[in-house]
Amino acid sequence: MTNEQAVALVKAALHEISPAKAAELETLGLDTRIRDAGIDSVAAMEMVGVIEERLEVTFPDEDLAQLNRFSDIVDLITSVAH
Amino acid sequence: MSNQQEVEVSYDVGNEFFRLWLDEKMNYTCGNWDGVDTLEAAQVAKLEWHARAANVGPGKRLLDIGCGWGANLEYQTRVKGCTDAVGITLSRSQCEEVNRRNLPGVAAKVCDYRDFRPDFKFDSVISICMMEHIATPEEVREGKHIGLYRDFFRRIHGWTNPGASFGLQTILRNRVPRIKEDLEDIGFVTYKIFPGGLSLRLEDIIKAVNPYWEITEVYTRREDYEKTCAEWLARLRKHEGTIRAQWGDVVFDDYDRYLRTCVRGFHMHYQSLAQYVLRRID
Ligand SMILES: C[S@@+](CC[C@H](N)C(=O)[O-])C[C@H]1O[C@@H](n2cnc3c(N)ncnc32)[C@H](O)[C@@H]1O
Repeated sequence: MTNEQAVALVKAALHEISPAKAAELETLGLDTRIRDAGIDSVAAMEMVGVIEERLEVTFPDEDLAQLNRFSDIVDLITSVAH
Repeated sequence: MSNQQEVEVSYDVGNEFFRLWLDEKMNYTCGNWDGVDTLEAAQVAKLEWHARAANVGPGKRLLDIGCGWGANLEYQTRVKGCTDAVGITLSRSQCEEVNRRNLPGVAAKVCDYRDFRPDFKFDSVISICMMEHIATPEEVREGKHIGLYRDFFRRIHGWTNPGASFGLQTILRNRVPRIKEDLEDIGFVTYKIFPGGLSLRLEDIIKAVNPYWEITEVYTRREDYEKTCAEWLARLRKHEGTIRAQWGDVVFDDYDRYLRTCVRGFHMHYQSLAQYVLRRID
């Protein structure tokens, strides 16, 4: 999976849980901290769940507590999905 | 790190409130249920486990970090013959209760472990479910937690004599829930019941102990904690009327939700519990 595809997947997942925030992300950029975009830890894990379902993978639990920026989710996707 | 105000949200609801649903000695942590069938016996078995882990006995100086209401200090002095024990807690109500028990050879004080400056060195250390207060969820997200845990182990190394033993117990985070309701319940427990803290992952401890402590034994007790919480919940519900009348509906409803969440959390592998025997690297 290319970086662009991973980014698209993050945006799609965010759109699924919160369309308004997905629009905001377009202006904020991927380096924004997930929290700062108004996504709490519950919503962030929901996003992760959506991405896992689409990719049919399970991310390592130990990586999930350290998701800080949207770009961390992109990195996680590219590390498991080839 | 939970500050004193946050710690008191967790432990200063009222000593009489916790007395209603904890065991008689007020252990607020997982018991060891091997071969026993009451909460009281499971808590004694847990304290006996830590006595062995920390090599407690006459002539050995003991430090209990995060001593709660004093159940462990009481056991190690009255039953295991320790004559010199120090307990620290950040909760003023807990400290009052320890002092009320008038335990021979025990000095308890309200003190943050980061400010603790003992006058002498210890041979035995026990810390039962205190490390959960060291790193905030935010610090964990930013990757600062291992350094904070390592600093905790470094300090204790400095407070102990060569050959010291350390009985450690921590709640573990294991699987991360993907179910929205479970995430919300766990978020409620993390932010409302135990603000400022987060349970650890097993690998955090493995990474943080070096170069200060050697792990010689590790046991996990996920099912024991499920059982302990189920017993606390049953006792809480038995006193529903009293609790609602004296502490209000919010307190009862919050604690009911918190304990229900824990029972499910251990059942679903979201959480587990670990007990470790550590030896000082001299
Ligand atoms: C879950 S309670 C466990 C109490 C006791 N060990 C038991 O088994 O019942 C956690 C304890 O850690 C203490 N604590 C939290 N942060 C602390 C800190 N920074 N310094 C010292 N004690 C702290 C709390 O005051 C509380 O007594």
